[in-house]
Amino acid sequence: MTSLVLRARSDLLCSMPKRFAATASASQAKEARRNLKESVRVTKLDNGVVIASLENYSPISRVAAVLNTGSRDESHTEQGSTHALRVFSNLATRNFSSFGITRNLDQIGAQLSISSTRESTTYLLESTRNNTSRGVDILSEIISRPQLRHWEIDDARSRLEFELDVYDQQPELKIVEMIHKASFKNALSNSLYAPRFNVANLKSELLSDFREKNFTSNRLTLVGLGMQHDDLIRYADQFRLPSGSPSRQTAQYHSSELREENLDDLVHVAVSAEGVSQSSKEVLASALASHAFGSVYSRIKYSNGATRLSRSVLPLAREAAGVTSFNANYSDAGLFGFHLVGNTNDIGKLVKGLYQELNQVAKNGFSNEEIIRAKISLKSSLANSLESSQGFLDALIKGSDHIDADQVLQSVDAVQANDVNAFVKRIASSKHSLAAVGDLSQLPRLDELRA
Amino acid sequence: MAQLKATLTFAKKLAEAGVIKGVSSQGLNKALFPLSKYLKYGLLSDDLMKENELIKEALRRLPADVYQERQYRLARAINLSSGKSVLPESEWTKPEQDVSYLKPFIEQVVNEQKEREDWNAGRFQ
Repeated sequence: MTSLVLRARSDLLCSMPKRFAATASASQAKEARRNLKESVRVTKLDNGVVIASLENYSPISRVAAVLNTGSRDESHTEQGSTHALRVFSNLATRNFSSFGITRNLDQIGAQLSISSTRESTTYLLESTRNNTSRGVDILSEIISRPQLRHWEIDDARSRLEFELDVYDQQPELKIVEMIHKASFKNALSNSLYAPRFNVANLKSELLSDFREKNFTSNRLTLVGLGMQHDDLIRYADQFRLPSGSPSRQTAQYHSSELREENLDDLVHVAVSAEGVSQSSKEVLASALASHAFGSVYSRIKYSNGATRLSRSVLPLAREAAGVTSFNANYSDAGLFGFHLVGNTNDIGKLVKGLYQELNQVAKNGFSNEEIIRAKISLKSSLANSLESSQGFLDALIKGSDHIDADQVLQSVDAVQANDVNAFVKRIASSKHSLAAVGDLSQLPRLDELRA
Repeated sequence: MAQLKATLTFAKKLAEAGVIKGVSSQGLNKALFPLSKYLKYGLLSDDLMKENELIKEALRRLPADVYQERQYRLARAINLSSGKSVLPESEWTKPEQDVSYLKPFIEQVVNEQKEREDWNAGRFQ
């Protein structure tokens, strides 16, 4: 034990003179940093659990238990189960009461958060290093041994309904769910939010059946940041999940139109086409196409935006409007499209203008400067996300090659302009889907827009 | 048996889980059992608990069918008592039927309250 401590200290003493010497070169400094840098360690257990950790010497330890299941695994009767399990995750477990979970986490100063996407659910524990084991006690209980007591669920159902009430007030969230519902036949068409018609059915037995089927050990990845790999392997024992291997439906794209009418004069419209999956060769080309058109990453505060879409489409509107592109890459499918917001009287012109611009890019392609600008935009958003611990964890979950910033930036640079333009050409000519919410009196149907 | 079936199956599940041990009338209580009056009305000993806040919360946690059977037994007993009669002997509660279905929930509520008081008083685990 003593020798380990001394060894670490002597490394520090060796590298410090190198760093502070007046004649230290950049490469020497990099060498010094590399001595302190640990690498990602990955272990795969017999029951299918993957354990990955990186020691970054941070005073905060982060343990993320990621389950490769989300709203896409819900069957027709189970719709909303992931939302319910997300809301009900603070309820009693076998060894902790709901009150006990909150107070124990407060006492050790830890934070536990749950976020779920269509394909995965992440339970993240952040605590100081000496309290991690107590935090993991609670984390493992929540994931593997929740009791789902029927009276606690009845009491907590109003929280679920409150979340739905808040969601109803946010058409920008609703349009995302609607465009997925319009674009996919199954799996990815399931909403992240529980449909109201099913809320009363989300009872204890249904939720525990869903957990039994989908929360299996071969779907669990334990990721640790700021901790020793051996500790994380020990913690993995506490996460005992059923050992099934559930099958997953392949998501199928189809073209359809979903319109929700109300009297809001701020209309949200989304138009989409079939994109590419995460394992596709074109995944970076799809991201670049989105950045080249103008995405949420291209925001300039308080301005109307200087993106290609803002410059060409927004002048067609009399009132304030917004237009961006979006790109989603899922494990076996993808979605690429555009999101427009505008006044009732403008929205028809805006969508027609968007189609003109899309066809223009499909015909002529992006210019070299636009591709270079898109590459810079994508590289900076990827590098920025690696700066935050949350973004770093997300990248680590994807794989240890995603956290090497240099490698990531190089792969973006390697994409050719032709790849991006070919992708856009395909998007422009493929079958589209439309989703719209608001006062749709001036919005033509999808077939009229494309004609 | 419509007034006891769900309660007995539920109590069997609790016994298998190790939460309750056998029936309410054990040991000394077993000797006193034939002298009690409640069995003549077809009630179980857990049916006799006086309702306070604690018992109300424990009752809220009962599964629906167990709770309905309890209500049936209480209504029948009130009816009998108002008519100053009892059930025929064949329908009296047997000792092995006198399961403590409510005890685990009462213990759970008491433990939760104790945990809350402990934390608020600063007695951390």
